[in-house]
Amino acid sequence: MIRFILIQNRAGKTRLAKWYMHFEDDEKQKLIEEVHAIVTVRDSKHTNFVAFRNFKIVYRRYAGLFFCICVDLDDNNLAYLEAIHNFVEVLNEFFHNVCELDLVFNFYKVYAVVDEMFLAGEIRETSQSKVLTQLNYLNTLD
Amino acid sequence: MEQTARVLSQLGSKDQPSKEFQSLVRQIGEAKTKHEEDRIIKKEAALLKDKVGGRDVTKRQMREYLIRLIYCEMLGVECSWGYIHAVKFTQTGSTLDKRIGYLAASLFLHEGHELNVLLVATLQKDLKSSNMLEVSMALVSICKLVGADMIPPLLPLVQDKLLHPKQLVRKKAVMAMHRFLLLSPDSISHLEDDFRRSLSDQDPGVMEAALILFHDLIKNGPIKYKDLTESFAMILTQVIDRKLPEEFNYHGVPAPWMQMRLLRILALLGADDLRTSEKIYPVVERVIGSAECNSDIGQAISYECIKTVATIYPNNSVVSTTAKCLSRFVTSTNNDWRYLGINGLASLVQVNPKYAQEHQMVVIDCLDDPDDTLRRKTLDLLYKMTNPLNVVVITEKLIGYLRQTRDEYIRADLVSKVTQLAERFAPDNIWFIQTMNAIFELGGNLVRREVAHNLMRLIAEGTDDERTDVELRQDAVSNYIELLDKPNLPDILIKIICWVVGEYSYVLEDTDTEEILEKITRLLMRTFEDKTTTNWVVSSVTKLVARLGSMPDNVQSQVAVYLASTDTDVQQRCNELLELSQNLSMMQTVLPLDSACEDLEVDSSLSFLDDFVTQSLAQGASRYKPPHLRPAVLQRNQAPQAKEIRFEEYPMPAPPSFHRPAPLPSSPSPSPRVPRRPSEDSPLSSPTSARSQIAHSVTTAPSGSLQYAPSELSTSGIAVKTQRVWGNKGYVKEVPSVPVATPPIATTTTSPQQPVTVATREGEEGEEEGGSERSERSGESPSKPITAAGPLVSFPSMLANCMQCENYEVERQRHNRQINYT
Repeated sequence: MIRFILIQNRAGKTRLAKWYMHFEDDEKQKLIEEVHAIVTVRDSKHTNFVAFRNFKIVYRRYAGLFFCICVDLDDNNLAYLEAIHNFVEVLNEFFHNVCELDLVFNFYKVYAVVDEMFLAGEIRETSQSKVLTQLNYLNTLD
Repeated sequence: MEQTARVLSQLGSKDQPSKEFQSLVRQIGEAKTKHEEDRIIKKEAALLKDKVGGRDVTKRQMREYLIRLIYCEMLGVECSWGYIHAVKFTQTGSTLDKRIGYLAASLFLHEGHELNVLLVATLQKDLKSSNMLEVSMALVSICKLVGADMIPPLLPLVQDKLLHPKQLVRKKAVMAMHRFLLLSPDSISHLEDDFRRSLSDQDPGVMEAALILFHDLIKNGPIKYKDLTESFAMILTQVIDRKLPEEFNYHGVPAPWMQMRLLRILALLGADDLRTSEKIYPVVERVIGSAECNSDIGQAISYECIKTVATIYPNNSVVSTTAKCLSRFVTSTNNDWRYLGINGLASLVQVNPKYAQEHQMVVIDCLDDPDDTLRRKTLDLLYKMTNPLNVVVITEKLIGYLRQTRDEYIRADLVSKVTQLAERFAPDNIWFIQTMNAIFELGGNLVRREVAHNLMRLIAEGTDDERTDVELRQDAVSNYIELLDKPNLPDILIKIICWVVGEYSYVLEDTDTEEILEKITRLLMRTFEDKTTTNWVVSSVTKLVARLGSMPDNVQSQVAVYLASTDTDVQQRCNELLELSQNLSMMQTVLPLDSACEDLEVDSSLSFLDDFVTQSLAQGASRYKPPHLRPAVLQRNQAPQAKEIRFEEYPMPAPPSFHRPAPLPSSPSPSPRVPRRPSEDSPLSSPTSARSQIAHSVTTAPSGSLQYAPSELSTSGIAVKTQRVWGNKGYVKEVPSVPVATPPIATTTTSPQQPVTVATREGEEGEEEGGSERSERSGESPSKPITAAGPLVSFPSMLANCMQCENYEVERQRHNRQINYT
């Protein structure tokens, strides 16, 4: 089960934070800082998984952004790694060659994408075409 | 900058966030330091707070404000004043507004938040709506926000959606059910048939969601679902045969996540069950065969297969195929894959240890890898691979890691692992004691107490062989004496040392007991985390003094210091020590050597005191009287019984003034009232009971104990300021009369001695009276009486808040007491 999804840039600024478990506000801040501290020191030769408290973080770096998913210890790491990649591919399609600024200015739309693909702590929809159709439909409502 | 321009130009058209928002984002982006960023966001939050509370805010503006609120929350500034606006927005008509409202609500609130109550009605309405989007939004929000107590009203509606014509809705409904399952499994146990139907749904997406649901159902109780094994196996075969529509392919692999989910379900079903496992073998072999080995995703599936095979009933050919697959992981250069390989090895060696031999070299390499994650996983593998031959080496490695790591979770984990290994595989006792000493030294506060006691018992009881016993004790004592010189030992180790040294220092002929006594006495000067440790030290000093045969002066003075200790146990021991030390030969009989395992005989009639008693009686002392014959008690029992039940009506009250504490009558200040809070009832269900309680306390106000009412009202004013009262038009000014309700809840649950609770019987009448009295009294209070017209909404949050003010009751009592004295 996914505990939270976090997108941060190299400086530690949060671009997106989606929580599937309840934490207090100060706990959330601490978690964000801890994750940042752990993930930025690792270079590409290290594994993409880190143990973190009694969970683990599966992360991947795309340009200047770190996409981190915090999952339970017994979950399949590569599955979530690929889920991250799937998600990024959808974002790419949706925003047409996505860059960090797209995520910054349209963060509420990014939340919609996250909700399409992950729900209640599990991977919900993996088919990129379906997600994109749904998102375009939602866009027309705006 | 060109990028910014490009993005901004795309934002041009209708209903995009305004200039303000854009400039905000740009500012944040350009902020150089966290401090500056914080400042900007706090300013933004303050600005939003003003704007949002204003009167004429259009829908469009409100949308934007909500989005900006989300942004602030995301960056860490708490904006709880804004949550209510998000909730209100979900109740508006337009779909777009709802969407923003739900998005904001699901991001701000969490399960168990007090505002969730407001959402229930909206959710129900939206679930029934004919607009598919609204239904979907409601379902998504349910997945995030629902708490166990919200399930009953929403459950039937969600159940309907399981059969909705649109697959998107069905899928979301299944996920909502999954959420319900996680919260309270009993609530959906009757819906099994519906779930099975979802499993065989036409649309594979719905089926996938049903798989997730079944995964958790099966985790809770696999037996009921064993009959579904064949269906799952069949689904998996179909997936591999690419029978699913094209869109489920991911980089050429058919529905990988579904495959993995199915494999895990099959693992749960086949665990320890030969017959079920037999159905699973063929399909697992096929999956392994068809998984591509060069891509990450293919490897992910293989890894899942390995885990499955390791869990189900072992079958040699399947296991060897899996082992071949595993070697691909372990021998690769990709760190990720090696990590998973180690993991897979750890689970496979449980099945059959020989696979570990093949890859030994790789494992040893991983131990020294620069990547910390890999090292930890290898330690895990080593732990699983331990057998009596290699336990010494492995424990050494584990302890070495424990020495240099700082992370609390890892340390606790390692400590428990080493303890288990030591207890299970210890080659001999001396090694065991040494290892346990190292563990205590490094992580004393993480070890369970039983482990320490086991250790001590081991030394005390020993084995049947006298000679090894003596050797063991000698070794232990000499080790501990050395350890005594180290500073900052954890408490549990101190206890052990004291006890062992105290009991068994005599086995070491060449040490000076006086020196040992000196060291132990020095321990007395330390303060310990665990207060009882001092007792152990004192006992040890006692035994050593007995053995030594004399009481050195510094020991005497140290112990005298502790005579004044606030801990009675320590005092008693010190007293005993000092008394006994007056008569040292008796001390040695009282504390014989090596008698830790002997039983004590106790003479419970205390016959040895008989002489003393007869002597005292002869000198005129009075006999012992059992408690019920003593004069003080006799008097108390003959006193009149507690006041009888009163049957006459109370007189009408005179209207007292609100905020001036009335001068008290001579009645004693309220006996410590136990503020039993009605926290068992959820605030939702108890407004009526709360109101009837309210009425009582108000009714009792006139009948003496006048101190209650006015002081409550005045002190309630203190509590009021923190409450918020909701009305149709937003904020309403504080209503002092409203929270009169809340404080007296505590008072009504007082002891039955007082006439207060009598009025409990006359609930309904009291309410009427209370209402009229209150309106009489509420000269100053504004127009909101606490009748049914009062906002029901305000109750739960207020009750919740009031029940949380622990200090409130204490404050009130203190206030009352002050009033008493003026």
